[in-house]
Amino acid sequence: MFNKILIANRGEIACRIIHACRELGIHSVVVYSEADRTALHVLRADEAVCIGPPSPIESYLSIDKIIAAAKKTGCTAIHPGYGFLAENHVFAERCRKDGIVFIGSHPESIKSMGNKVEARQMMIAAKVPVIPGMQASASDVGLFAREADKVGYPVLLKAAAGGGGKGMRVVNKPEDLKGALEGAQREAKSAFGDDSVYLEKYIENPRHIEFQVFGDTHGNAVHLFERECSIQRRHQKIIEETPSVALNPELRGRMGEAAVKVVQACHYSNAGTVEFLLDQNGNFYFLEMNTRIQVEHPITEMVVGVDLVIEQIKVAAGEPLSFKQSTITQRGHSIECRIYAEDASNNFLPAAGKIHYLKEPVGPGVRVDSGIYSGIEVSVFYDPILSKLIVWGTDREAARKRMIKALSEYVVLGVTTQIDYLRDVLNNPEFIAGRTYTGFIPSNMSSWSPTETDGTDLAFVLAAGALAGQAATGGGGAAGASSTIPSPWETVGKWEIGSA
Amino acid sequence: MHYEYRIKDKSYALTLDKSTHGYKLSLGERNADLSVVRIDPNSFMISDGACSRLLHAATVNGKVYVHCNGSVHILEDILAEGQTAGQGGTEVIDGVQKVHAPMPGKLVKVIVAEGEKVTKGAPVCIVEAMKMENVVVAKLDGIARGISFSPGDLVDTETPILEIVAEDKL
Repeated sequence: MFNKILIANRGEIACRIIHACRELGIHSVVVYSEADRTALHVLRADEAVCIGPPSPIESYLSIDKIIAAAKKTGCTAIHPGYGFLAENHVFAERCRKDGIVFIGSHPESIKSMGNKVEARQMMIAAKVPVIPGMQASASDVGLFAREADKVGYPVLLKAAAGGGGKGMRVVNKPEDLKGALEGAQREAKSAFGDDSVYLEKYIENPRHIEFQVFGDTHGNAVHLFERECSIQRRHQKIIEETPSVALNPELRGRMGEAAVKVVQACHYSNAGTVEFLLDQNGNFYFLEMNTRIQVEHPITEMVVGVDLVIEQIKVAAGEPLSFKQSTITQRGHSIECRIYAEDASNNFLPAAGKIHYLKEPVGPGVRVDSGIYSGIEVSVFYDPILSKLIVWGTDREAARKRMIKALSEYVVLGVTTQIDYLRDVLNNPEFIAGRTYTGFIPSNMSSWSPTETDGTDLAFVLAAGALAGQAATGGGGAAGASSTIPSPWETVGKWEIGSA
Repeated sequence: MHYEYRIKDKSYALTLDKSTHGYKLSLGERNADLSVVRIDPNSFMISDGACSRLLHAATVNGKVYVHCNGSVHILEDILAEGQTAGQGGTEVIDGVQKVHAPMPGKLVKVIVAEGEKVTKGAPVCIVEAMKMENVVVAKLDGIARGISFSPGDLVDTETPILEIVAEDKL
């Protein structure tokens, strides 16, 4: 086992990996950019190395600087998290060359699966169904136009090196193709350092069903069941759940087998995710394989009872998988909500700034994977994900209700989040009924606006505002100035034991 | 004490005074005796006898952010702001739109050239923050001028990137 691991990431996932290291008794080293001096992962890690300016290209995407940091601190393994270099085969190869274990699959599988086009070709050979479209990425707009005409509009432009919706565009008509292609290339370049883009038929209103898979270096390959991630806004998942209401045991079995076939086809080792689209007729198509730990991995952990990050580290160290296909079962239901710094009432504009107050929900079956604290500055340079709220319940309805309660108790003041929006998605009758398709957000939430507060709540809000305002300005003198915090006993008003 | 707050576009006047048992709140027709327990500098347990809630509040740049029952409300203190001029934003004032970034970020591209004619609704520049691109559009027909940033520059919500001037205002 490793003594020291370098975590080449930031935010909540870096903190998640630190947790796993600590439980395994492994020393954790993180890297950070100048914008992240006081980020949570820096404060939590055993050691931290500054690797450069805020721009990801000069820091979190800089292979040379990360390798140098690992060598300098004596790390024998690197965990890349998700995003940044997680699916960069050049980085994985460089690690191998420099004698550092990359906690992920081997570079060859990352390369073939990371390139969405090559992955498609491999799946065709392995007889796993794929979506009609280009066999190779291109840059010539004429080629895109011809292929679009062949498969028929609407079409989808995708970054060959991509994931997470970055560098992705739906094109409905020929005249929009050129502009969309330029935008996709620019976004792909900035997010992945590679502007290759390809095109495929856009399947309307499918479900997004993915399978967690795991391979090891001893030839074992298993799946850990599905996650449904159909609730997406601009191709970015916002709510994920498992199990999916759309799968019966027979379909689940077939999709699981296909997922394992994908793992075997590329001799994959470590944690990965095979994404499928499930159309309205119950046909499924291979979408892509993510050769990394996923943002939404905790919901799988909640229902199957495996710590995926710990398993990743053990498998990277050469150990065989600690479980077999026959020992993995699903128990209960889990939902995850991604908490983003963005303003749902103002076109989801990113909301950077300082979090002045934070209180995370707690309670039975509630988990928060967080990258923030009271007082942190949320920077403009990186993804707006702040944290993930995960719940477990005995069934879907119990999990849904638990999530609504937990969201109501999640307090973030100073930076706008979409917590109220997420709660309204969970309260939507279509969501409750399990009619979750990738078109859910445009179909059900396009006219969303925050619920108006009135009556007693409004009175309380204004009273709390007045009390907090007095404290901040030192005026009024009612609830105490900011310099002296009175004990609850000093401020207790009319209060009776046993009163409601 | 008398307070006036604005939440989004609605204004509210209230009085909140210490009483022997807690606070007396008066808000329009509503009068209530409140008990308040301040749990920490940002947290208040407020009860009116029938209903009890835990609220959280923080003051940010003169505005009070209040969390209640799953929603955050931003209270602007009307009495404190005096006669501050209306926020320019990217609104058109007197035939001129001062175009600035909708959020702090990096200027990706200025789509129009100095002196170019633009039509209402046309994209004029692209600003990127948190890896998402946001297109800023013209809010009137006019001429682009005063382009003061280049691609790659960091821009904020205060300093105009350029302005669009109606032709009859030139």
